[in-house]
Amino acid sequence: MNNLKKSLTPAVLALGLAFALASLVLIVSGHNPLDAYRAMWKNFASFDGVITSINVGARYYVAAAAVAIALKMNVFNIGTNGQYQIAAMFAAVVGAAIKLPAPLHVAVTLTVAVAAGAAWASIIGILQVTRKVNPVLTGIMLNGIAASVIAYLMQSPWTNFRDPGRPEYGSTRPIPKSGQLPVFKIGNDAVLQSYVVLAVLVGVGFYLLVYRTRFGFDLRASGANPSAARSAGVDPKRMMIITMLLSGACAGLIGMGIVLSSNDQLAYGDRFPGGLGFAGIGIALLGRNHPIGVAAAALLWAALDQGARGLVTVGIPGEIAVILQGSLLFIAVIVYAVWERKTIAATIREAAARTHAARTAEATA
Amino acid sequence: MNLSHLTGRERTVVLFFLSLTAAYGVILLLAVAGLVFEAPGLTGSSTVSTALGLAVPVILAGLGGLIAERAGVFNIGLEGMMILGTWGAGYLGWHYGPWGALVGGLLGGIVGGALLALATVTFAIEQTVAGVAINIASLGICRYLASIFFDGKGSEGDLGTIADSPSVRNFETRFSVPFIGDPLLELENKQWFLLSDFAGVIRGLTVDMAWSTFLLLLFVPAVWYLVWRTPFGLRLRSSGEKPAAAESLGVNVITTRWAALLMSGGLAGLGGAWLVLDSLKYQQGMTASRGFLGLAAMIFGNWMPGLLTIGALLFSFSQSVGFQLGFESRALIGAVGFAFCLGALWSIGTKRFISGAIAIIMGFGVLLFAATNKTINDSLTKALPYLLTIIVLAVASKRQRPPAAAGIPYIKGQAG
Repeated sequence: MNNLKKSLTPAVLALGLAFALASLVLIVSGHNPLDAYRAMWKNFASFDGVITSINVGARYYVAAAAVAIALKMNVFNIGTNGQYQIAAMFAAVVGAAIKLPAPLHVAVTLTVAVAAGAAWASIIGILQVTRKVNPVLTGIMLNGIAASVIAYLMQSPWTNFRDPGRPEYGSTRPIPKSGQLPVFKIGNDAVLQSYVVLAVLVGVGFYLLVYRTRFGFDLRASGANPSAARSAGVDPKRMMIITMLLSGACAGLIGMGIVLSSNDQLAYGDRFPGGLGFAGIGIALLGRNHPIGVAAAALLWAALDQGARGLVTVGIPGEIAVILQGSLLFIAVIVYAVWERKTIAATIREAAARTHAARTAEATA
Repeated sequence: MNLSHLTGRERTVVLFFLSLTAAYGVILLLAVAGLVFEAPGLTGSSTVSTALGLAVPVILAGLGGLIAERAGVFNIGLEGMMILGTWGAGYLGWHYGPWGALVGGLLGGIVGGALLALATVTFAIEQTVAGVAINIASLGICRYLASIFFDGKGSEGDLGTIADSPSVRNFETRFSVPFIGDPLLELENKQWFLLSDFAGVIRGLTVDMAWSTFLLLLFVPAVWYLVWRTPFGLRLRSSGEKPAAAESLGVNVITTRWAALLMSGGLAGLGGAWLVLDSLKYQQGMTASRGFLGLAAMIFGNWMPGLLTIGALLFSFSQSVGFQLGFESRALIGAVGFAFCLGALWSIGTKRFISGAIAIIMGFGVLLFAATNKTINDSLTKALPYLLTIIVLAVASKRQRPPAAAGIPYIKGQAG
């Protein structure tokens, strides 16, 4: 309980400061912040709004988990944005081309996504290990290249991934019923995607892998103190490659809810959202790379998205939500760091006081 | 190459002739590729002058990264600072013309630099994290500001929206080195092998240049002078190499890093101002990762302004070639193939047979591709600059020496 309070206090503090800052921005630009928050709340706090937030939050969660697992080793996988789009395209193409019974069909499609994401991410790891190229820069370049590769494969006469039957979407061929992830109809028009279950499984897998296995220990050790980990026999090159593969595999799943759920697109195309990887970075940092913290951050991020759509009704720019997300992230990383330093200092002081007390007791005895 | 036994002046002379030879070699390579693959435009003045302009924002971001990192802060927020610069340049440029745009870019970038300094220097938090946060936040800030200050404002037929500003005036004249333009043009049009290529390159670098390009390129020598020839520069570099030692000698590491980050942000913001003056308005997303490319150029340039500029030019040149309508793209790919083959010869000459074999296979592969594809698919042309940057980083990264304390937060009093 005490532990929970310790980790919640800085988060609440950061949230409060971010809302204060956003209110200030709203007041300066001549809007009433209360009106804005009321409109946002109204758009979020309906049955439909909450379900939509959960569906979108699941995507954000997987996107953040992909970043967080690499950050556990202090490696920044900024290339998730390219990885998930490459993965979504290949998975959509394979998923539409094969014919298999239902659960197997989905499994094969998901495997393709995971493999494609991992393969694209492995380039970052290989270049870092063999040529010492900064992984952040490789990631950024690969994001640019991914966009070109996708555009090329979609239109090239050799591959021709584009569905000639639906030129207006500029998308791949639709995925048949047996390859779709089921959805649950709740109430009148609210639809919960089973992709949410997949996201929960990713979270459980993340937790078990990082906190309950030998590999996870090595991973965290390499992140906390690389030289100590190396002298304890952890091969940094091997760790780097495996971490990038895992991170990329996870990133491969980001778009699968969109590609495989029947109320979404059932294909990869022009309307496929493009910035989920970058959002994932912010959410991972906000959730402090912890499976549960990231889940809370993802849901909050999605709720702010959902709320922002209600701002149009009161004539306030919806961008205030982006400001909220951005300033929340910025304030949160500062508050977390200062808080942590303060806690460590307090622990040291407490230990020192205890030693001192013990010594004086000894001396008087 | 080890030049450490030479005196300063001798080294300058050697480096000068080395760079002349290198420039000659590159133009020769491009001329041969242009001849073999029927693309005289590869060394044409229009390709070169476009490349020079496109290099400016990347160079400025790179210089910003260099100053920050020489002072000990890894600045991955350059992209966000450049975005803030584009907004500032759009706003002040719309109201006060080209000089306003430059001031606006500078101020916008400085705001971003101050945010990063607050987070990484004052609060000493993880530098990558803070930089990424700035990149995300700046997008939202600019969109919000645009929704208030640009959306629906401006004159009839020139209204701003949430994604772009009303139009911004550029300088009315352009800069040319006097007297040499016409003779060079005549020579360029003769299509003589190598001579015309030289004429094209020189003309591209000296004639009909935007004033913003000319003015902002002056920052390359200025930053070099500041960092390597002034007392402030010495303090800056010592903060980036051994901050604890610097502090024990009386350098205020905190103030120095703050100053470095304000300059870093200002330079990135000026890069944004160049973009605004080039497109004649602010547009959302107009930076297109150039802040990150600046970082890549800085790493390629081994944290030195001159080499950084070459790295940025390499990137912008491949981008500029992509804009040409003829066979220039495949000729550039062919030139890369030739370069691989030359690298292979060098490797074999120095008895590194494995790298030599890899290089020769890649060289022939690339040449075969260039020979069999007359026109290159548009989307591959767009990927070319990124691809070349990765290749160059893969070739260059192993010999790099970053500032020793770059990326490590410093807490005052660490010297003990």
